[in-house]
Amino acid sequence: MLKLNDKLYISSINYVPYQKNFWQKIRDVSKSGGKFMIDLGLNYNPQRFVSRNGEWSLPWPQEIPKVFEMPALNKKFNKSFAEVTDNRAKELAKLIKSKNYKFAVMYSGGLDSTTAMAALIKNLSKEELKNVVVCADTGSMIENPVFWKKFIWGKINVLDSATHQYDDLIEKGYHPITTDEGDGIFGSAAFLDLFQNYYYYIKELSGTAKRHLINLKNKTTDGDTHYSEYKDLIIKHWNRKTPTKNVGEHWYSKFEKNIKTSNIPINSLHDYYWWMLFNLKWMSLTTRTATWSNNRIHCKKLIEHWLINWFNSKDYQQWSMTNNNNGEKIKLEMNSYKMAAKKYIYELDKNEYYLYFKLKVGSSNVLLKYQKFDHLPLEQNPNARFGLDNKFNRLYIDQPDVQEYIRYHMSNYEIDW
Amino acid sequence: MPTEQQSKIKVTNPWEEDSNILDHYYPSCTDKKNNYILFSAAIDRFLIVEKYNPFILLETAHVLSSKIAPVVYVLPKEGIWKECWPVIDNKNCLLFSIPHKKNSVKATSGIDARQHAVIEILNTKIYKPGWPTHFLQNKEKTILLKLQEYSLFCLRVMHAINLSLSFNDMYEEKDINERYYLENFFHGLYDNRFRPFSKDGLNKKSILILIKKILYDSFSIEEALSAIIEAWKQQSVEDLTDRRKDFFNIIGIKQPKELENFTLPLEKHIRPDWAF
Repeated sequence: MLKLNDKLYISSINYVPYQKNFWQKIRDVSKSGGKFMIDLGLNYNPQRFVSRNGEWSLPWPQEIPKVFEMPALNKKFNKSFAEVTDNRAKELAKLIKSKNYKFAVMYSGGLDSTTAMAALIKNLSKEELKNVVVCADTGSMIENPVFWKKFIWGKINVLDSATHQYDDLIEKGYHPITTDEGDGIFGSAAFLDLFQNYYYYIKELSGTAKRHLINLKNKTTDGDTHYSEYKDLIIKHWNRKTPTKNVGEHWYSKFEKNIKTSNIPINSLHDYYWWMLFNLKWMSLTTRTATWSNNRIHCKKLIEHWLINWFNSKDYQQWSMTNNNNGEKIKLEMNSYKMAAKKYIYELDKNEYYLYFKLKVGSSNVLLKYQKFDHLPLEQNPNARFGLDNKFNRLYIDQPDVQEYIRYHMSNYEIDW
Repeated sequence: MPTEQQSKIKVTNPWEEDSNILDHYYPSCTDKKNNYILFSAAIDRFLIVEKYNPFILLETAHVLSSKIAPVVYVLPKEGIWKECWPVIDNKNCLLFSIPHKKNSVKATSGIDARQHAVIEILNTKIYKPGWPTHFLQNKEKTILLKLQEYSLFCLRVMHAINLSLSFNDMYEEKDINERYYLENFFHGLYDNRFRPFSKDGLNKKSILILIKKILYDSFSIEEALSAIIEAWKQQSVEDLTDRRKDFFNIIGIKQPKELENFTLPLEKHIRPDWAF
């Protein structure tokens, strides 16, 4: 039973058909802040922004679980991405040695999961690798055929992710390894969209703004060019799907307040979009599969005992906070996104084509696609889920207590930025 | 930045030049401009262009999808880019791009992007930003030009294998059955007792499938060509119908001597000719 003063770990304003009417009705009774949060969801669906650092008000009380807190910035942190990645694999090797842990890597063939696989292959002995299975589907082969043929097929045991969700893996004794939060380490797909479609987003701006932004196109990853120079473009980008015209303006002010009250330097436009993921979406990235793509295992048990969020280590987060605008996350063009990961993989597979031409390909929907939930009542389907309370209980949009909770808080939440 | 002249590919290989033989197979395309374009978002430029057949370019894109995430665009007959597009060819296409990808389901990297090839009607104007600045340095430039040359080679091979098989299929029952009938129309209705025969008695995948796999897996033209020669040795011993000869002819190179005179060692004939 959710009480009005209970805190949440993660909440989701999600414009799926199942929830659409509910949110439209809630919008009618919402105060200005509540209306904004719902409209923001039209632009960034699902809207699951939660801050780990700096001011970011929400309609309801919020808490960050200890395991996903942001570490304090250590400006002297100097480990390379390769060192951090090797160490991560060695930590897991220790768990194999000491506790005979078995791991299932959720492998898409993309940059994040290939990094994890490359690290395990490089750092684990043949014997230790017997405790690792690759959980993949046909899309995983197609996304990275060279790696599949050279390092996985016939060398490491494979399970079909179409028939192996987290629940199934855990019931077989495997600790699932997810790299879901990889974008949080390197930056945002929204930035790639903005950069790739730069001329599209500026086309309706004034002549002066357009000229100014055209001159700045190649400085989006330059630490000496402050993101505020791109204010018109950012607002346009955040207004792209919403019928309410001032969502972009409100977003800009609200997020700027967060940036100014955080203790991490945010300079370039790329920093701006990276911070959005690293700070505001970290909770969503780390918990989304457990919350929305898993049915039988309680989220507390799953997150605290079973799940390995590969990039959710202190060192990876320190690396991420101390490597802005130096070409490691992105140089400028799309093919350089996650360059540090690409270089790490290249050390193993020597595949020049992957190094120079591989792009980010979204795969987060794959697990949802394969999820078996026909046996669940409609009101417990993934699309009916609202989030997690601070005991990791799943919340459903049709629960009367959840509806009352949302209605109460949204009708009291005013714009405060 | 290299000038347009400098960035042109040095023409040394037949697949980089226009082909009179392809004009022969596609007579209505002789004077046509390049209406079909292969775009790579990683380069943010057009990698290769083609005037004859969009499906062959799509097949080429599929074999290249082990290296890039390709999009084939069909240029509409009319459009705001009309003044610009007729000048695009395989010598200058790396200088051209589209200013944004909002009208493309595939080209944008991110949640909607996929690795496999797709084809779309281009719904955006073309512009000429020049040589991609992220491939300006020697190392980057070399790998890009290597990819482009490999892509042109794949395009020509895809033309060659499809044409040479289609025009010489009359006596190649095994190959036709493999390519068209068994998996498509009789799936689940036969087993290994019903494998079709061929002149050389070998029971292998169609040469079309083998060659596509070679192009998908190879890293260079040299590696691919050498594997293709081996594949032909396995698949077409006597070349009674000239499929192999035509294949190399369409690519624009002479059939290697080792294939011209190639016959399979007697012991490898599973079912000798006289059995029929």
